[in-house]
Amino acid sequence: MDFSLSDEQAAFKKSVSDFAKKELDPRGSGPHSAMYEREKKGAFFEEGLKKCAEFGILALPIPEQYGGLGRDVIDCTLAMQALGEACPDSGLLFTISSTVFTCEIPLLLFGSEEQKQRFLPRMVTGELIGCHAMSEPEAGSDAFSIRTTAELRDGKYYLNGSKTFISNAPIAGLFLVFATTDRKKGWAGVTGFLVERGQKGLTVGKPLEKMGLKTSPTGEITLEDVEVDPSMVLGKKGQGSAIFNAEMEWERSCLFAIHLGTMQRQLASTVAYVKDRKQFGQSVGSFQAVSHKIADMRVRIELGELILYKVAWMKSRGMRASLESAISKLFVSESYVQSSLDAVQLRGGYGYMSEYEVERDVRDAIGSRIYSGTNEIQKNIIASLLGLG
Amino acid sequence: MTTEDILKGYFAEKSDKAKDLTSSDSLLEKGLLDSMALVKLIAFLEERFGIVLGDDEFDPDNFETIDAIAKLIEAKRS
Repeated sequence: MDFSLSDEQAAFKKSVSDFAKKELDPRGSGPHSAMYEREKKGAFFEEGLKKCAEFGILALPIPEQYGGLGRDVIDCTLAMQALGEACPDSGLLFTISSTVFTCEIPLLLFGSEEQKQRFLPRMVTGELIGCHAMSEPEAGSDAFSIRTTAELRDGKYYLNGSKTFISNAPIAGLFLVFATTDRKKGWAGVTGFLVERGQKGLTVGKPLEKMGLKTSPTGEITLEDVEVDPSMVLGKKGQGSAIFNAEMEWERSCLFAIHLGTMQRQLASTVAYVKDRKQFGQSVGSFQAVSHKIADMRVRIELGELILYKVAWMKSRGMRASLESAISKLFVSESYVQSSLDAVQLRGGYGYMSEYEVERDVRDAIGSRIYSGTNEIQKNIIASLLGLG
Repeated sequence: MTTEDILKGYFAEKSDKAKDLTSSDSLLEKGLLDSMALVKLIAFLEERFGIVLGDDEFDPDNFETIDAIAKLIEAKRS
């Protein structure tokens, strides 16, 4: 058993961290920071995306033959953790995670050679942003009950339906749309289709307003007789659930590594704050009511890192990690919410004020309990794999 | 005990609907394999038969019947 990173892994993680600290909007100090202003406007950090693409973040898991860097899932996890720690724009990182892990990865794992050649080289440079479109107004946790249909007529598929809560939809050029070819078959009838922006019948709605992650655009799409050539089916007909499950395992590892990094940033800034802040003639950090919260934050980071790295390690060895990725997603997201709340509480009134940029973490964190499968679904998976339910 | 027998036993333990299940019955049509049941089945197959299923093997055709699953297992073992 070895819990240490190799020299190469440590150096790679540091290089990502150095890049992010230098290029991705170093943490500002209140109301005049660029991040604060972007969040107020709900503006996407396009320049940040461009810099990430130039550095190779969007290319991490993609083989060199498609313009990628060919990094394994452990390196991807380390990179995401480093980004989360150094970059305060969680919305930018969420967008990056969505395009890489829920669009590039499905293409890589299930795409035909033609599909990979056509899309991946443009995705790794940031020219083409991807998204996956699964959730519907009537199909959330019960994902495979989707009503969007794909009907085969005269050698072409025609997609009809609507999708909601689609991360990146307003800026995406490529949509991985899940539709059913036979509702009676449930999960076995779900198929993935590649649809490009501008295709006739595809309408992208206005960005949705959200509680947090305001700098990551989210939207709805509607499909009215969108014609899709069978060559744009991802994988095989009926393989949609396999695609969905595979990408969710990646996301539950890599996206949540970003949140772990954010928790590390919170801890560092909160320790500095409680050492500096004086009340009753001493640093507030000297009071156990405060220091115990800090200790809890540190414990969550330690345990979150262990389970995230374990999932990455398992996946890098081709092992299935259904149970472990469910545990990881559940634990890290709950930890993220609690540590964000603690970071606010430990700053008192200052934590509650937007200009100090801690309350934003709470709003950003809440979503992590919901996306990538709600935490209730994660508990169902864990219980189910114990033979219950 | 054959692979088919092991699989029939697995489904019989999970649900009364698997009573009298034949190797060619559709598991989907009998309501024995929703998405959560599939996750459980895969974990069982990997542990019981010492195989690792690749992402591209999650093809509904491979899980349509006991026969199909047995064939997948045998293919993986060989």
